[in-house]
Amino acid sequence: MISRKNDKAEKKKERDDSEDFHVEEVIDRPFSKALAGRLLHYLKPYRLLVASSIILILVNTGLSLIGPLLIKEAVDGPLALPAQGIEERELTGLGQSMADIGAWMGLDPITVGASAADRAQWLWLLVGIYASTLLIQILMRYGETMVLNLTGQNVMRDLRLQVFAHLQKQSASFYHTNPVGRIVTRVTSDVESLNELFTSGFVTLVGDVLAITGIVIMLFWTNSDLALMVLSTAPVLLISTTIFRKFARKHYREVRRRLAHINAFTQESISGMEVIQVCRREKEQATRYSEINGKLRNAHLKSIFWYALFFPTVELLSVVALGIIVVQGGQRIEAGTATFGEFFLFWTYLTRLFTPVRDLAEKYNLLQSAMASSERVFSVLDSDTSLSEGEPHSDEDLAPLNEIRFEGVSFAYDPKTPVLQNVSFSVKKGETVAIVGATGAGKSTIINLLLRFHDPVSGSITLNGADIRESSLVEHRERFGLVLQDVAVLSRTLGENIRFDRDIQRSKILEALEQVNGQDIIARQSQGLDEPMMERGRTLSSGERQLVSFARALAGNPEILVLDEATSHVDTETETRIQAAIDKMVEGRTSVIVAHRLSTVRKADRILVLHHGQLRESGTHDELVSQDGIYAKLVKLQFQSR
Amino acid sequence: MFPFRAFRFLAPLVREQRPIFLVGIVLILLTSLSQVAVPRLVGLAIQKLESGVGLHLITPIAFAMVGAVLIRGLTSFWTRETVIASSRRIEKKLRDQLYEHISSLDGSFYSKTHTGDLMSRFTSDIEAVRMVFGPAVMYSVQTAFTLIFALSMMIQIDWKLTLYSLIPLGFLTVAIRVIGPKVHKESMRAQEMLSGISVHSQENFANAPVIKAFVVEDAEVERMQRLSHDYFRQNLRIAKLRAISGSAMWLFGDLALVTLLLVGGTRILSGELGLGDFATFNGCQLLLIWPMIALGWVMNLFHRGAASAERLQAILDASPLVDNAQARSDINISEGRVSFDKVSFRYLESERPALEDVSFNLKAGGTLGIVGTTASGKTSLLHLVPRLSPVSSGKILIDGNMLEHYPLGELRAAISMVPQEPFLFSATVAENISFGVDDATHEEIVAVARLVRMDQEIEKFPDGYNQRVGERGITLSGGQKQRLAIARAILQRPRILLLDDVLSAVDSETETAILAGLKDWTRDLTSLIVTHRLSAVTHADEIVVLEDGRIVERGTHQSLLEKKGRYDNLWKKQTIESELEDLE
Repeated sequence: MISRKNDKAEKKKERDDSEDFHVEEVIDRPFSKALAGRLLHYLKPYRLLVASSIILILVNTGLSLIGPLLIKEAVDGPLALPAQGIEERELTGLGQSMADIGAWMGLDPITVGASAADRAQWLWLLVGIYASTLLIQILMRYGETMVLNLTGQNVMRDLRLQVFAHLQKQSASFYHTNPVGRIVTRVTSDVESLNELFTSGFVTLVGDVLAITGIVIMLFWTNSDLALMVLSTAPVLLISTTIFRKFARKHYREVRRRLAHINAFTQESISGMEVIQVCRREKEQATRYSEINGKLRNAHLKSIFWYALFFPTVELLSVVALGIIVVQGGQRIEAGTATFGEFFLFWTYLTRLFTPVRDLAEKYNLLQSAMASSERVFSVLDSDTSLSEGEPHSDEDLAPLNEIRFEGVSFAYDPKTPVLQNVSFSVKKGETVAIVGATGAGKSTIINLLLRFHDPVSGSITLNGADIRESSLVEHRERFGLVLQDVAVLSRTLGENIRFDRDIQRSKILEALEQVNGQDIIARQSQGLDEPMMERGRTLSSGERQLVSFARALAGNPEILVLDEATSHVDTETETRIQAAIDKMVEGRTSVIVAHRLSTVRKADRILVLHHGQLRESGTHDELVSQDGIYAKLVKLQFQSR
Repeated sequence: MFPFRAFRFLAPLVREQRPIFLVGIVLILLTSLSQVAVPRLVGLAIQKLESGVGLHLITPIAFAMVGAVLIRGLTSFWTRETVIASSRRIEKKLRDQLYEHISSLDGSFYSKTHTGDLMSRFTSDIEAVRMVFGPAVMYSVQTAFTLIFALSMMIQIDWKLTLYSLIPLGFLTVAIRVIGPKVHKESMRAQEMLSGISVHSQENFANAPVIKAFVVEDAEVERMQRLSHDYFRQNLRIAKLRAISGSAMWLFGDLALVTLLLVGGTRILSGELGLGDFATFNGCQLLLIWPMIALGWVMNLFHRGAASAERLQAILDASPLVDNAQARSDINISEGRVSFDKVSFRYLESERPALEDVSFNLKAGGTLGIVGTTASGKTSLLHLVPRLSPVSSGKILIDGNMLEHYPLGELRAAISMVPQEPFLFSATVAENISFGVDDATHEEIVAVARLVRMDQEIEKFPDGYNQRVGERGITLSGGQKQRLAIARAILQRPRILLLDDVLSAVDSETETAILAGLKDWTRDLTSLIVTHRLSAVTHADEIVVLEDGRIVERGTHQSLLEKKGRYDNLWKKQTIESELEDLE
């Protein structure tokens, strides 16, 4: 016997374990070539967009380099002090082209004695060029952002549709093993984080690298000596960025984990509030909450530390670089190997160099999250559980239903626990077959196999003598009209819920509703058939939901009606209506009904009694009563209670 | 200008952090000061170089720059460590407070609040308020100081030039201020569209059999196409706004430099401005670009935060209708007699009463069966007993005393309730069973598990009683969840047990056995049992049949059958299923 003390200790251990909240999904993943290659594949249809975005980025990076050059020209040209020997100035690159432009415009080159008016004209020219590059740039920048987004959004839409369409083909066993919430995440947030990769990841990454390269080249081109001095700070910047990235990542992950935990806890508490209140656990829960909350806060505080450290470090390095310019540049200006203009150029470029370097560190994090998302999305695309099927027939060849036959059919999700064992029966055209049995006897499995949501483990199901595995899925399923116990009312209008995306006219919808005595449902909605339905049809009564699902099945005018009779209790009046509706639907139509009420069963042409996955009795009501088996006992019991 | 009033209710939380905020403000002051020193020093260096006087000062000036930025680094490090950290502390306390508050709210609040809405109070609204006390405070103060210092320096040099260069930067603030809220609004719409996609996927996946049976997969994909396309277009709309604001930032930032070049250049030419002062101006403008962007952004943060703060306050202001105002200390529940005297109950927002004029007397140890159609008021009736919702009129008495006279804790200690949807926490099986009992021993947990016939199944779990159940118990079957919820309820040894149709997923034989076992576990346990399966209440002392909130039939099983009314009708219609089970 365990002592109480041990018990407590054990409890403590459990508590610690539960605190170590487990997030099922990998949050990030190092950059992988294989994944990236696969992602790039999605860019293929948008080659032109990608190409033009690269061109735009190139042009923009180029244009953004011009501004500081112009300031340099201004400082060294028109704004230079008369004392300085401008005429001796060696005209290089831009300086030369400026002189050419000036000459073309009829401006005299700036010389020692140039008049203020000449200088002003030159200043205006430079400012004019600067302003026009700005105007071109805003258009180009606008274009760049739009093209990038267009690409990202297109890829995201393609991928989302691909995943969704892929999921539509999966067999029911896929939905059996994967929780709905998780699949929804694949289609929504996972695809979403890939969009970020395309819009601000890949291509902007290129932009940042280009900007850095461009600036470095310009610095060297202007004054290689000084550039070398300034860039001596680069290794320190690189190292500190790497360190920051590592720690920021670690804490970011920690924050995400804690956030997931607290959100799960909150959600759970809200849903379970009545239990918490009746069990008087408000205080304990609040204490637990506060603990979790405290951990989240601490995770935040730790990550604040790294950000607080990183930003000033970058700032410090940039000012150290500026200091180098002041000292070294100053000496060179004095010695005549550098100009004031170059000083301004270095200064301005420097402020533009540190931003992309800082951004790169953050973009790497983005890349890692996106890698993890893409891996999850691809794993969905890679698992294929769709069923094999035969070729569709042409319309004329498709024979009307004659007979469906189960022959020695067995089924199991897990080999150890068979759900159906060696079941054989047939349903002929026009017959109504009722299936009765206790929960877990295998009734719903028969429906699942009939509609080919699953394939039998052994045995075969034939329709008009042909194995259903060899016919086309669409053709096979289109023969059926299915009504399940849990009615699927989707959040669209009442009419659309009945039409259910098929090509059915409004008049047919009304007709179907009339057939199941459900006309008054329309009357009760303020917008009639166009009334939007709430999630799960909350605004309808359970009886009305049943009638809607009947109408949905009938509207398609199916050859075979498959019906899982609802057990949920509805009020007497509706119940009578539903019963009447079932009778009307079944009449003259081939039907398979999982029956829960004796009144439905009695009218059937054949009754199948299932027990523990085996077909124990089969026959008409009268036959089975005279057999004195399970069914007979059942009927007796019902009479007794009357 | 700012809706400060919205944040007033946070005063106590902010007050605690006031010293830290004050320190933060001093730090920001130092940060801005040392920040503005840099362009001044650069200007000074150029001045020296230009005039050729005091060249030996260049190196000290460079060191002074590095010194200034070192100070700036330290102060801005501590600013984040104080202001941003404080905002996280406020966030934590606010979240704790909110959680504690919603724990005290009753059915009158929960019946009109969507879980999703409440969740977004906890996530996005708290974050928006946090942003106000963190980044918004930090950047607005910083912008203010930087502006003051930079401008006073610039005006000192040349006030006209200052005016000219400030114009483009002003536009920058206005652009962010104008486009920011639009981006926010459009983003909210995009969020809605994304949740539309999510709902569509959710409905599609959850109803996979029906979708397949009706062969409408292609149409579903088409629908997804339409939703995705709308979302696509909405996102491009946002991209457009972002592109405009991005280009505007670029334009106005550089335009300030262009203006400086033109106006400043002209003044250099006329000899009114030296190159050194020109450099100082240049440095100040580079410095002011970000604060001017931040200014627009911060204003948006304040407005968004105010809207969130109002939503939070609305929840914090909601007070429970159920409280201890009438509690007396001299009474306790010893027997467990329950009686309803002309009880009516109406949800706040609904016009129709959920319960009307319900009366019954249940002796200690007795059983009341409650049957009726869906939405006939069965669950509402149960919720009134532990005061999860308040009675609208009439009286409920336990052991002859008014419900309201018992302290809430005392009352609920005597009552256990198992809700219709069994609720399990993501914790171990043992923790789920012992939820509500502080010192349950392992033996007791096993004993109640045996009582609900779960012991053997639990032992088959890989981790036995330490098996974690998935979120909301997804790894367990419906019947297992129901039985665990019952085990939890009876471990508390209540005087009164409320069961809300809790054994629907358990076969009737097990159900009968479990219900019989309950009586042995706690002697004289009074129970109120809501059920759809009449076999669960055939032995009840009294059965009431509810319809539209009223009792339409009452009596024992036998007497009700003899009445040949609704109950009898129901009994006859009971599904074949349960009887088939009985046969074996």
